[in-house]
Amino acid sequence: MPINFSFNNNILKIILSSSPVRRDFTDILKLASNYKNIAQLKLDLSHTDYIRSQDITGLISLKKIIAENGVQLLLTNVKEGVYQLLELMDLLPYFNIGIDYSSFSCDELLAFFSDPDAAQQVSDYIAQNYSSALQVKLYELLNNNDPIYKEWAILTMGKAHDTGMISHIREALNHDASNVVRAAAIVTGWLNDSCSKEKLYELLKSNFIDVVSAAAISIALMANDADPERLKKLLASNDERIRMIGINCLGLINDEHSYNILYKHFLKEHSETVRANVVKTLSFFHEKELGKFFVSLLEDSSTKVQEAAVNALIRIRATDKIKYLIKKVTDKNVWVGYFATKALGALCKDAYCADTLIKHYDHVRLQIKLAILDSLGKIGIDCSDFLYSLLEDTNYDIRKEALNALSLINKEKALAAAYNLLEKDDNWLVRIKAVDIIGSYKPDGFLNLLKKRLYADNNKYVKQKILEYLENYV
Amino acid sequence: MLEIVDNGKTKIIYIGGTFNFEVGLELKEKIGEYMHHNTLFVISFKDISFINSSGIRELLDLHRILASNGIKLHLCELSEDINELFSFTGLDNVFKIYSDETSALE
Amino acid sequence: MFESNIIKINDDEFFELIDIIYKFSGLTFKNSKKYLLEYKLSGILNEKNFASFKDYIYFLKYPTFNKAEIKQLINSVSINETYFFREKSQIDHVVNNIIPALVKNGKKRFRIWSAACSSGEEVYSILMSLNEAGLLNRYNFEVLGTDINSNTIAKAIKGEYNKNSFRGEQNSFISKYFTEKNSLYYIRDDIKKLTAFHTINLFEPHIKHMIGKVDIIFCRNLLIYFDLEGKKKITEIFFDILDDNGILLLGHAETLSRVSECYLLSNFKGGSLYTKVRNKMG
Repeated sequence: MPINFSFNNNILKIILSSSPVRRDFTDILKLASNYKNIAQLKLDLSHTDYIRSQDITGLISLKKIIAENGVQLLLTNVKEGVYQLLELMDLLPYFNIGIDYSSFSCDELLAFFSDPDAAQQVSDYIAQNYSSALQVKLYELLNNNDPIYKEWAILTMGKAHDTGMISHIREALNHDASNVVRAAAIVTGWLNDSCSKEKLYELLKSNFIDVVSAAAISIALMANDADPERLKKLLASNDERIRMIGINCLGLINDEHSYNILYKHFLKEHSETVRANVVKTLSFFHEKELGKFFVSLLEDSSTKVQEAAVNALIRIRATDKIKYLIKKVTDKNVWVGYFATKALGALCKDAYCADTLIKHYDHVRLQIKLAILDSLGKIGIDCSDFLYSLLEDTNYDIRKEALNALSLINKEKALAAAYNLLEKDDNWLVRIKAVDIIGSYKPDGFLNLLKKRLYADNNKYVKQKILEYLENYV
Repeated sequence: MLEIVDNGKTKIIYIGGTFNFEVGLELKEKIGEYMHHNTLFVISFKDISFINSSGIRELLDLHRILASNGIKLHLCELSEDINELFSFTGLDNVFKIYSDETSALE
Repeated sequence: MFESNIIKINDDEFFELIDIIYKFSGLTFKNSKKYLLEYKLSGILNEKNFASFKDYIYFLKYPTFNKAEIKQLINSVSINETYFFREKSQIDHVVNNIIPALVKNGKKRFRIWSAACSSGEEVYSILMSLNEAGLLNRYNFEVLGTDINSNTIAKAIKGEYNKNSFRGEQNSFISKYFTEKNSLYYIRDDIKKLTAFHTINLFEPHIKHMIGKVDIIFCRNLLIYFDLEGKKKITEIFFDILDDNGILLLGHAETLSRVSECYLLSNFKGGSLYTKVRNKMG
């Protein structure tokens, strides 16, 4: 029998025992029949250490029966031993598996902070479900010796906007563990504790780069007119990473003074990485007059700067600069050409662009071919004959991109191609794309087609994709 | 541009242009008028070209005010640039952000 | 968490990327770990000006698979954050019970292998514990640390740590085993010289020759990153490398249930361990 159950917002949640047997799943069905309007059945396995293979059939039957009634099944908090059993029986693609933090007690939740893979998610969950019980526990953690627990307590309470802890944050800015200082520094900005701004300026001299970064971000979040000039000092650092931090923060402040500082800095910066970052940051100011400046950088000696300039032109929507981007499609650096081609897809909507890209297709390298196909789909001009001809290309990414572009331009042709490729293509990525197109357009009979394919296909990712569409359509 | 649309106990707010300090102030004032009759406010960023630090500050203040009154605030349809800003400042973990309006309303 | 634009990965990109990671390292990622890949890899994508994981995947693959970039990818996704005396009860049990029992049976030389040692905290924790128990000077210990991640191995070799690696340890303890300089902590040389660190993929063909025979293997929080097939292979490798009645210690959430029948599970206060059974069963 289940340990516990509850029904809220059309979700029936059931916590299973440590070793459920087949009969338990039948009991669950009986229990579920007492409720109307169940959209989802959530089975929590946080207490389940073991299920015998013969009892798993009960779980499979349960899933099948409730699916017939339009109810989704979600398994949550599945322990490793049960996960391995599902894997052994090749059942993983058939079940939705997730994590449900609402099943854990306060102490259990906070224990997740020691798991680097789970800490962030748990912190988000706690912040969104902030209760007085959790608040009490988090305050205890603020006084904990362990710097990791302290760090996550600070971040979590900051996310929950618990301004009552400001005095703890101010104290934590002087902690000897850098991760704690970093957390306190960023939360200072979130809570707009401008009294700590001078302390943050001191932290800009820290030996730990992540502390510097957090302090600078918070200064920027709380910036007044005087701060861009003070943050400018970061641009004089010998450490490239610190110059990057300064640039990003000036971009965040995004006022006229910051713009001028950044522009002037670009002219004297020597590192290509930093120069590229200045280009990117300047584009956040959305000044159309920068279009000419970015175009000039398309011929910069650094390919990184050229790439940044291409992306910058997209960001400021420089549709009047398309001809310069077209020239770069055949650049000797394949990645500059790649970015320029993708930029055309973002900015261009006319036949001239589409025709030009098609003309270049046979003369460029594979990466740019892929970018051309991506862009043709976005430009949207009907070139379905051209795309159709590529559906038998020897390269599977070409076939996949051609099919994708076709789906954005001509629905009928795309569906016809998708049916064919789902049946015949030997590459699973192409078949997944085909499933996506069929599942998105939902033509008559698509459910039966996908069900048939579910049994016929031998690739676990294709199966998983099909199952998602079948489940969502239930 | 600031437009407020009714959706039961939810209000959807559409803002255009740059989200700066002035826009933030106006938003706080307008929301203040409706605060006690709603459980959720959704801000659509569809037409917002950019948000700077002073705009973020006002948004954080709004978040604090609403949270202290048990009212939710959801943001939706952020552009890539604005998503990047929120990531950079860690605010993607502070605010509830959705890719589209429908999921933000759920 | 912040300071970087987190780029979202869609399903197809995720499937393809984990397929690549699997091909080159054997590591697997469950669907629920999608966000982890976003966090771990967005830095690389931003650095290379990529706006999507699709761009990055093409970069890895074309014109041919880029070995250096694949190595950076594996390094980025295989970083396992750790700290000194993680799951201390297991180390304590080995030091206070297992090793003394072996000493009673006449054993004087011990080889211990930390099979996913990351930046070396586990290796040094074992040695510090042995020293505290008075065993280090009386018997011969060699503690070997290996990991697939070359960056973390370099860090382990250097023996340089910051305060994050110490989870509430007493300052007196820290100053006993480390020297501090500019907020960084350096492990004592006499402890360091009892270690050997190598970058190794557990599936390398000659791994048994590289490692030799060991008495105890610590392999904590690694098996969860492998599928059943991978887990079986690794535990077979461990079986061949372990001496008779050798001990295998896993992470607290891990199990050999349905993976191998060649080990006997036993519990102790604070954890469990597996003992190699003399003959493979079945």
